[in-house]
Amino acid sequence: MNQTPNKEVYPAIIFAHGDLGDSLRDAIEGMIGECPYFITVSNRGVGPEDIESRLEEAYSRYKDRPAVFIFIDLFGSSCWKAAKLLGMKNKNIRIITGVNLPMLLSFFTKRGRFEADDLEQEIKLAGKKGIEGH
Amino acid sequence: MKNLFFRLDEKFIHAQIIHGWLPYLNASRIIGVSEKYSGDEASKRLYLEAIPEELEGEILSPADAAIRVGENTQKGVTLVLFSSIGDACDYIEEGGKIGTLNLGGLYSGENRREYLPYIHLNTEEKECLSNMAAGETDIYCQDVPLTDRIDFLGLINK
Repeated sequence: MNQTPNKEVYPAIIFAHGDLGDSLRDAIEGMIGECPYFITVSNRGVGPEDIESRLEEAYSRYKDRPAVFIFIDLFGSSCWKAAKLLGMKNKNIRIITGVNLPMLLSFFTKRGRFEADDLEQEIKLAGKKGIEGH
Repeated sequence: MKNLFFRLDEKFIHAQIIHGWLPYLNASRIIGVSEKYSGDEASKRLYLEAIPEELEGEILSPADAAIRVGENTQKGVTLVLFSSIGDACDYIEEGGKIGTLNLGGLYSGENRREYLPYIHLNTEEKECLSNMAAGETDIYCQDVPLTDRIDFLGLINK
């Protein structure tokens, strides 16, 4: 796995329902400190005509970066569809569904050390490993 | 109308439908009715991808839906989902029947008035739904499954 310091610090956008994005941000920054290049967006109160433009507005700040990770809470949701449509037009977008704290903590502590493909694998694994039943 | 549940929701197939209404209804099939999305291959593919694997799913124009909705209803509950007020009206004009219509997810927009946080209508849309309610269709508002139903005519005539 390609792991070298000082690689690109990939930006992240959480696009989710209600206050979930802000709450996750609050929890993460309470554990590891302030995370730059990180935007949270809610779909609250947004109709079908505006949902894509709300995400696009956030993405436009990072559109020239080699990879932008968009974290979605629910597969199949309006947030997911908006991200998929945006991803069809912009090849630097990586969409990760089922966002959770382990996944995000992995992302923010490892970005800058991994290439985008490897980082994506790392965070998916962390997200799945965070689920346990006893 | 047995085994058919009709809903109008401008976000169309989204989280409230996939994770709320479909499991609540124990539905085995979903038919999306949309002139716009039935002819938009990219959106259609995404909406179909979003439907849980164990369910049958189709996206049809109002005209096709008016013919197809009544097929195979003995297999289980079918959620018939309209993406706009126009689609529901066109479905009826094409000969489709709606016994009871659940309204949710009509968002704010130009010239639209808020009746409930999830119900916004302009004058024309209000009239269209009122005419429908005056005919053979009972209409009620309910955005998510575990909330109370609100009678549509009672709401707009307040």
